[in-house]
Amino acid sequence: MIKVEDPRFRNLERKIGLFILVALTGIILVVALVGVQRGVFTKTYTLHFTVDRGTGFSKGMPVKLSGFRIGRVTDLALNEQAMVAITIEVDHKYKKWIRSDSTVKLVKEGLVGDSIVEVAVGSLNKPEIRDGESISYVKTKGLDEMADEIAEKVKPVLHEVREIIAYVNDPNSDLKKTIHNLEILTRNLEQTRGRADLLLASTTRNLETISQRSTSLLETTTRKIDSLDVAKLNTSLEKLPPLLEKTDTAMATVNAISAETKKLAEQAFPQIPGLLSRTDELLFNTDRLMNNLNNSWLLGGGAASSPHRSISAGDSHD
Amino acid sequence: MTKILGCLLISLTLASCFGGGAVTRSVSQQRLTDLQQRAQISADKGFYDDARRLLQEALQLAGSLDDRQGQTAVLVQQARLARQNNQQAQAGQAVAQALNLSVGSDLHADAAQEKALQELAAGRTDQALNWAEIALREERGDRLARRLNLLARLALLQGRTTDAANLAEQALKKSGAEPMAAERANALRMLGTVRGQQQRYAEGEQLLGQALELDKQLELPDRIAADLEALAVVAALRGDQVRQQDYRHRAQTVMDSLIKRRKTPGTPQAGQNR
Repeated sequence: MIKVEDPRFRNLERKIGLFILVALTGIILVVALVGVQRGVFTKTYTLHFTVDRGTGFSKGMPVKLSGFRIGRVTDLALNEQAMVAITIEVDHKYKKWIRSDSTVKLVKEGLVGDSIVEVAVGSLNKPEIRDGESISYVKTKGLDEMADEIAEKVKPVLHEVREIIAYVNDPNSDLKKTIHNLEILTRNLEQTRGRADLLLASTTRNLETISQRSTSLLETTTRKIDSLDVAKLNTSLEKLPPLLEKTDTAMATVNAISAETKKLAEQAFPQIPGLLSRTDELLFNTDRLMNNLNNSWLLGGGAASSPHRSISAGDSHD
Repeated sequence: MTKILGCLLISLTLASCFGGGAVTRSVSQQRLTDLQQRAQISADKGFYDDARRLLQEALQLAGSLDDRQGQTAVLVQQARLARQNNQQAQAGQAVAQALNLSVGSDLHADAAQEKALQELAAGRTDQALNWAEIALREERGDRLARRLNLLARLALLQGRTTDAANLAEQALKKSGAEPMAAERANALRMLGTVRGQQQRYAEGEQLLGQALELDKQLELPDRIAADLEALAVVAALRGDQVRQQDYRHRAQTVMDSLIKRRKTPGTPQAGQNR
């Protein structure tokens, strides 16, 4: 029996076994990594909802909550009512956000982006949706529906625009008549302008005539002024300054008299009450003197009346 | 001509010697009397502020001369003026000073009478009666009729008609002198009123008619109105409604005219000689 003693084949079995082990380990790791990345090992739970049309939905399309991927569409199937039953798979850790009042809807990510299923966050006071339960679907309008809606809204506007155009084009409409009147007015303005030009020309002629007459008048006036006796006028003017001086003197005298009168009045006014009092007293004394004379024996009167007691007190019925 | 002028000169000399009057007073005394008279005239004309000012001047003059009689007389006059203007506090103050100053003098009766009139105006007839009796007791001059009449008036107000009649009769007897003519009319009015109440209508009307004539002579409108009112009352008691209406209408006319005159200060008031 021939024995091969090549050193490269020494421990060959061990080497092959080690190689296979490393390869298997690598494969397992890759599978594991892919599984982790794909969420194969993530704990999920399923939810269901029904839509009338399955357009836009596809298996594996992402399910997002607040823009963050939380699961995917796992199944689409027609049910007994010919509606599309859709099953989604959601990570279990996001279960707390999905409550009984949460909704799902089909939306597009951006204007030309992929369609996704978006889940709206529910109220925290509502119970969580459990595995296998249904979630409400909110229908979103597709482009065709939106186009129809816009078309419905634009239709009456277009109708009105058509009516306006028809009105404008109608020869019997007010607008047409107004435009016609404007044309007539413009033609009349031309005529008016012609008449205004004639009037201006006439006015210019009249002004020229007036100017000629004014010149003649001014010449006549100049001749008259030249014929005036300047010497006499100068004599009269020479007499004016002394006259004005006299007037000034008279005014000064009047002012002085006025000031003096004012001063005298100021001095006299405070004395008036006293003067009146003294006058009153004088009149009273005169009256008393007359009474005394009347009462004197010479004029047939009696003795003078008694002093002040008689006038002080009232009588019994005072 | 010379003779006539000589006679005139002699006459004037005699007049100045014998006709100067019975009372001779100093210039200040004369001025005091003048001020009082002027004040009275001003008050009668309705110029109460002037009257008050003149009386104040008179009081200062009397005070500067230590003339207690003069001061008392002015104070009584001030009290009277204030009372007539419903200034009770000022009137009471003035009469209190007058009573203090006049103790023992013949003016004390005047002050007491003024006090009685103030009490009467205030509706305190008992107090008024006390002061009226003091005035009668203190009277030493010729004003007895005035004191008696005040007592008669108070008796009449208190319903003591007999006393009132007696006092009025006494006043009538004491009011013979001319200065007491107003008091004579007052006595006649009260007596006539009492006689009417005693159903002695004719006598009452006669007495009231005399009072009316006297008051007309004295030109005292308020007294004339009082006489006519008293005559209306007697006519009513007699049952003569026509005369009652007539007297009442006349009294009303007199009072209306008097009120109108008083509303116009400066209008000379009649009867300044009371």
